Amino acid sequence: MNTKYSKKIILILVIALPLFTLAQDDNDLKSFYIKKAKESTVEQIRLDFSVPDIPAFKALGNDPSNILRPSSAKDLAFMIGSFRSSGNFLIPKNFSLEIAPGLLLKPWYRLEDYQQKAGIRFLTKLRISAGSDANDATGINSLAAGIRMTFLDKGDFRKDTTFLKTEIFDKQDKYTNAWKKYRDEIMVERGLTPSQYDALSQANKDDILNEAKEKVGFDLDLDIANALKEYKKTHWNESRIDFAYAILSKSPDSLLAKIKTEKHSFWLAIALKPWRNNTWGQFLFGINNNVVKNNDKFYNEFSGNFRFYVGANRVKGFLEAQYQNLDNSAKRKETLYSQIGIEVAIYKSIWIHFGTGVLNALNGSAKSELQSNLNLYLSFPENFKLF
Amino acid sequence: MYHVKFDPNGQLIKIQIDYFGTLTASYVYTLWEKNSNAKADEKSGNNQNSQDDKYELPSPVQQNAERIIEVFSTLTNPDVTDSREIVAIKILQGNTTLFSEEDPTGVQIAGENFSVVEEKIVQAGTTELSDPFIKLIV
Repeated sequence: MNTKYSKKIILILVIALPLFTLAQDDNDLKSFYIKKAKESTVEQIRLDFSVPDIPAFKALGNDPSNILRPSSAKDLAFMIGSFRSSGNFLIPKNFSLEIAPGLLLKPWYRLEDYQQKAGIRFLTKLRISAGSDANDATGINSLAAGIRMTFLDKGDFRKDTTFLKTEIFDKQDKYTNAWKKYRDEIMVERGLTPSQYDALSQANKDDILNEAKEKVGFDLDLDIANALKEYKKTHWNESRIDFAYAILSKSPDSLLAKIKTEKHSFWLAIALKPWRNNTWGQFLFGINNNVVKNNDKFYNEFSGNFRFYVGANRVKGFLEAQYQNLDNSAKRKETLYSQIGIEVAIYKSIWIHFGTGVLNALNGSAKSELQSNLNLYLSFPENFKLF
Repeated sequence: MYHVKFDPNGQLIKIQIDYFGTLTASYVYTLWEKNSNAKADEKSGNNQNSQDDKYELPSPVQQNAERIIEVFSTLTNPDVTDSREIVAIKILQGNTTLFSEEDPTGVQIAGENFSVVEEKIVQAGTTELSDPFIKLIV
């Protein structure tokens, strides 16, 4: 984004800040609304655009720090085998697992196949997750499973042959040739023939390889990471479609046989670049639906969003609309929310998200007074990855 | 060290280098002289496409006895998730694939039989080395 636009955004923020302060201090009604909007509406909008990376953990309501990630089909079979006892399958306690089938299977495709075949790209990005949680107080065991899929990813650098050539292959070729050249020189210095070198222990080989690597004079991984960072800056608005589904089940004890389904959730996020060479805009469509069981009856919670971004990766303005229909045993709420706002990354993943909009209660318990609002909040955005 | 037997009176020997997976790979193929640091041949390339990674070994064929083939490959994973990559080397004499004594039936990938295969799991944001040595014997 150029300086002219940045200045305009700062100006808008400066004008809007006093409005927020007024809204907070004005009267109970507005204060109540801001609080309500933040908790039930605005937060919901943020989450709805974010297809969770690990849907099973989202369904469980916790995000464990220790996630098992088997790297072979054998590891996975071993893990699952340990959940069996006396002929019954048991729900493991506080267990979390994420499987990338593309990593479990031996790759049978080349990079050029990946670039040309959508099915291969789909499989390599597929993620399956599972998690469990035991509540010691109630004795209820929860088990969740989820799947995350990417149907389209135009921002995938692996498909960009020009980027690969100039920013990765050229550097990697140079690095590999230099590393090998210095390794060969060290072999000669130490009087090692190729046979003798190959017969060395891995530790001794590593010593030689590390010494040769230091002479190369540049860090390939760092150079490529920086190139990718730049790539993301210029390709932030590429089209992408993500989908995730999760199921949550509960059992009164640890036996899998007594388990009952409590919740189904799905998320769909579609990001579209307005046209081919556009670098400043993006359309976002998001859908989140939860089917939740309450007193032996299932209720539906739906929200659909549309957002249009204008700007650059770390500074962008947006227009947004959300339709939400929450139906549960206590009440039914149907709302339409629209807002205009700005998102600015001030440091790494710390973002300021400012929005002002109008909420229309179409049905249910929301009061008619709550038809307009102004919000300002600081947030750590959800892990919404466009790349 | 792998050992691959060839017919000294047979047709030309060729080497084909392939990569399976989504990572970028770059290699230096070296044909080392017998018990020496002298090089009979050296070529470099990458997996931008798989058509140009085939090389003929020098003729006459019998002079390749006891020479060593080295394929020094770097596998780079710039992504945020770990990835599996296979380096697959095919040594052919004429149109016949030669297998190593260590793996006499070869290793099948994508319906093709390869002479020597190395598999690596490359962690996100890192580069791994694959460096098999193959001695040609008669």
